Amino acid sequence: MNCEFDKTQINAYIDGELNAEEISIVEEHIESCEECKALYEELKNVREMLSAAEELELPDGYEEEMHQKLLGLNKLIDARSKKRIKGIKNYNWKQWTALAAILMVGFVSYNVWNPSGFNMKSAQYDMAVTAEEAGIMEAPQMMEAGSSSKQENSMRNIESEEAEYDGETANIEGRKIIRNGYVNLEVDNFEQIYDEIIFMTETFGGFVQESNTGKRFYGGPANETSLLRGSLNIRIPEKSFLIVYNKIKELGEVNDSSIGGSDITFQYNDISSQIANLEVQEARLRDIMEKAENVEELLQVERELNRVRTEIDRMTGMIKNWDNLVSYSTINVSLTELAPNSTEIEGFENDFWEKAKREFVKSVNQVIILSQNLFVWIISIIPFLFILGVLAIILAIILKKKRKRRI
Amino acid sequence: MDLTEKILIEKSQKGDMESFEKLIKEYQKGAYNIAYRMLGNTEDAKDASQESIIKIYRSIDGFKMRSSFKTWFYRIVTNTCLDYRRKRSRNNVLYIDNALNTEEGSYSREVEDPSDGPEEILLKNENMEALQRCIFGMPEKYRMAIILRDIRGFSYSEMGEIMELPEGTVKSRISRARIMLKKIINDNAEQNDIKTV
Repeated sequence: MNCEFDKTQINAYIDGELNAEEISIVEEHIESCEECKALYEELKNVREMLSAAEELELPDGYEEEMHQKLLGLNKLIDARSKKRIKGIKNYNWKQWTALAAILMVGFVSYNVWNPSGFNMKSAQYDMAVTAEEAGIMEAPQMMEAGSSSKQENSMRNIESEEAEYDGETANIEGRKIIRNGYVNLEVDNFEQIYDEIIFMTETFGGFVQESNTGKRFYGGPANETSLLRGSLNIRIPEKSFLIVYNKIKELGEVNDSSIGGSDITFQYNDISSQIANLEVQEARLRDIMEKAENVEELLQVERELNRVRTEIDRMTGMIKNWDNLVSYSTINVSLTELAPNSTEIEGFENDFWEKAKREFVKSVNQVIILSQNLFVWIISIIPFLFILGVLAIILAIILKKKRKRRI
Repeated sequence: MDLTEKILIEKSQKGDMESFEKLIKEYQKGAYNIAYRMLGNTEDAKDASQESIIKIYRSIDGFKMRSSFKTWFYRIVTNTCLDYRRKRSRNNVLYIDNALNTEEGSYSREVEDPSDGPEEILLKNENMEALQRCIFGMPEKYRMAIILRDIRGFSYSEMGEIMELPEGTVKSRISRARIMLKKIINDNAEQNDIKTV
């Protein structure tokens, strides 16, 4: 084999893979070179022999076997894909989406309902109301102070006190009855009604014992336009109780109202007679004290006198409190403001655009804060993701190998 | 690629097994024959060709219509056959008509064929076996080239796609393989005095 001619071309010539120009080159060479001609003949021979090699028919049952194998594979794929859909794929799609959604909701709600955002306005409002009431409240406070101070009481003349009870305490046929009423009102204009009740109370010689006002909804955009609710605890002279009670009921839609009374005549009389007895005892002790001859006796009498005096004071206090309760009936008013039923088209509010703008800015700010937090959070979990990722890759490789081995 | 084939492929990709079976009907014989020539016995040929068809069925989703289905099909068949031999050699299964690969090259086992029959068939079989042994005497890559070119009759460009090689490489590989085979046949003929057709 000394000929340098490219044998590849001879083979390509045999295979008919040459273009016309190349064919002519090969043919020319074969004609001139004995060696290459021999090679060409031999190779051609090999090729013919090979192409003549009989094609094997498929063995019996080959296709049927193939069919069964494919069926088995189908089942396997079905089972696996189902498993995968249930397991990994579903997990990928639905679970992750759900997880992301939960996280988002959590973030949003945390940011929107941030506790620090809770409105303090109602508290301030309450304080303002209390300050307003201060003028009204002064009167009862002084009265209460008067009734509760024992020292002051002890200085007073008992007889004049007793005269006071009989004169001032109003009662029906000599009975001592503590009356109270309850009205639950729905009103259109809260503040107006509120003022009216206070005015009425003062007109009838009563006082506001307790009051509170607040917004019905706290926080959020509803805060500024929120309706009000409140309650008043007013004291009205007993004789005007029914008049005031009925007048209050006329102020709005009554949801609920009640009148109650407790008859304390028996206890009142009991305590009164006890006081009378003790006063007799006191007078006697004073007499004894004057007659006392030595210090020991004097001290003993004085101790006894002191005990009686204290008892009288305590009971007088009770009587006074009862007198107060009896002479000033209590009315609890609970007010709830309702949106007025408007029958007219009101048009846009003046600050419509302002509000829209404010809310828009608020939302934008929330989105910014949200995405910041989200970003920070994602950065913060990257180390975990990294570890998880490595584990997942290892797992994937193991699974892949296993699967390959199974085929 | 004709339209029927395209439709069958699309149906197969949707998981229609019937279409797939129609699709491979004309190819599976080729797969079986390539496997037989590569592996040297019918048992392995059946296993390997069926294994490759299963692989094709599993991965038909990934087949893009850009290339020809025929070459894609045979690419998987040839790769599976090459893998199959590697797997088998690991398992140390010996077949009487398998070539032994040593460092100096590969040679085939000589086993006496006990079967007898009409003389022509015997002669034909003998020639077939001799030819098979000669093919087996070649390293795998040349064997594959000669099987695809001379036995299955693929063009150079088709072989380039199947073997994933440039056409120039295919060309030179076929040339070398054929010269190599010619030498082996000549040597065998001298030794065993078998007449080549």
